[in-house]
Amino acid sequence: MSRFMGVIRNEFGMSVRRKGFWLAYGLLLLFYGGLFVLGGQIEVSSTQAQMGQASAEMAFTLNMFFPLVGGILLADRLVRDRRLGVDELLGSTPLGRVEYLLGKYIGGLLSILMPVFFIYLALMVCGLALGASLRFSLVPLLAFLAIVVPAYVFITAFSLACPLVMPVRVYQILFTGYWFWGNYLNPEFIPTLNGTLLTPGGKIAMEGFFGVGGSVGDTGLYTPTQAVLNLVVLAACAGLALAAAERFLAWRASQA
Amino acid sequence: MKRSSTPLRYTLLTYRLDHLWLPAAFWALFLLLILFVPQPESKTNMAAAYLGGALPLLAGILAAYAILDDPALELQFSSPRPAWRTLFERLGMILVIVGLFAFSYQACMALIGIDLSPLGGIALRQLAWLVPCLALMALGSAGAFALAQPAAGAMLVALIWMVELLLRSWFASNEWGRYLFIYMGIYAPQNPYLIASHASLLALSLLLLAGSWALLKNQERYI
Repeated sequence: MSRFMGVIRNEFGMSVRRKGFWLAYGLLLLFYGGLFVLGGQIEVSSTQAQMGQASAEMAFTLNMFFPLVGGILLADRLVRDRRLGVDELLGSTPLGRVEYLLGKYIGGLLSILMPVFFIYLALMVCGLALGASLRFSLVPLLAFLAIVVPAYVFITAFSLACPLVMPVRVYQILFTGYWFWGNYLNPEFIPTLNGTLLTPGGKIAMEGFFGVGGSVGDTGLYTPTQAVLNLVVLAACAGLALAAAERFLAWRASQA
Repeated sequence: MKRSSTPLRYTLLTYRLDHLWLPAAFWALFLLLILFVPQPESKTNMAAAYLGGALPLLAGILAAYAILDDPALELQFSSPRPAWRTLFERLGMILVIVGLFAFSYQACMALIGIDLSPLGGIALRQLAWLVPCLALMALGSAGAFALAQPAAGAMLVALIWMVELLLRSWFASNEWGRYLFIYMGIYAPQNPYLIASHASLLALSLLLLAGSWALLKNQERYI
């Protein structure tokens, strides 16, 4: 257990110590700050439902760019270990392959979730400071858990697994194209995963759990059941990607 | 003469194949999509999306990795070659490949009868992919050198590509945004500020390339 925690701690530390990490998130915070202020998005919500809707919309907006940056930054985490020979070093220790992969996954996931979590934490603290009840202030956390976290769970798994079988730069190009194609393109324009249960951008959870927005093609809002199914499918895909990565690492170790 | 031609030969011999098959795969994918999309207007939009959307993203991210991802980087730095030449050769190679795919794609569109005239005359059509390609290549390269990490350059390229794509109407109409709008050539080719937008992006690309050159001279940062 301590070895597993050590991998998580190490991965998290290495990830957040990169200059590019803070530059990217700093730029995004500036961008979103400008967008919210200029667009007049900051409103005081009077009811819990309004607060939930505002938080869900914010989560969906944050999901446009934050996961993209996170996925690109995490793409070299496993590949880098191989390039620098760290995997051989780890192979000589009692650390198991599953422990290693899960540790990398959780450490990387926590590192890219941290900046968004701080935004939601700031919202909650602001709510409390303005005299809102604790229950009312916890509403943004629900949006964070239902919309933000599933997207990151999904992309972290693929950003670790896919670069094992293709060059990192190729994955980064494909991932950027995928994030736009699979989340924001209208299915009536070209075939896309947008609108299916494989949509990780948070639209289905936003509509299903918080009743915000409208689906493409005027088919009405997604239901809570569809939102739950969406989360289950995303989690299953992430699990499959990690399982495939584990099998690939095992195969590569057997070839060495 | 022999000494100066050797690195170019090295670049050609060690050229990464994904620089070739990836634009080719996108080429084929967009062609397939165009063949399956029924509306003529959507076909033109799709053709424009490859030229002004997919190619710049490819060029930008490949440019971020063009030099710093070389496994023989230290060896390269130990040779008496000016930084500008290394930069010119590596980025030039990417631009040549991208250019070949852009031209062949336009030829293919003409063959299957897709009308690209909404993008303007021949010269404007070339600027519609060339300007965003140069801008994102310069950004990717400068970002990678500034942070000494190819991934950071790639991340900047992806971020700008996505932000401008999702906020395209704002960029096209905003007083300042239009001078930084990389999709003006495909999204608003009739915009009266098109040439000014292209000129400002080219100037910005030159500045970023000059920055890349200055940063590349500090070779010890990357070893």
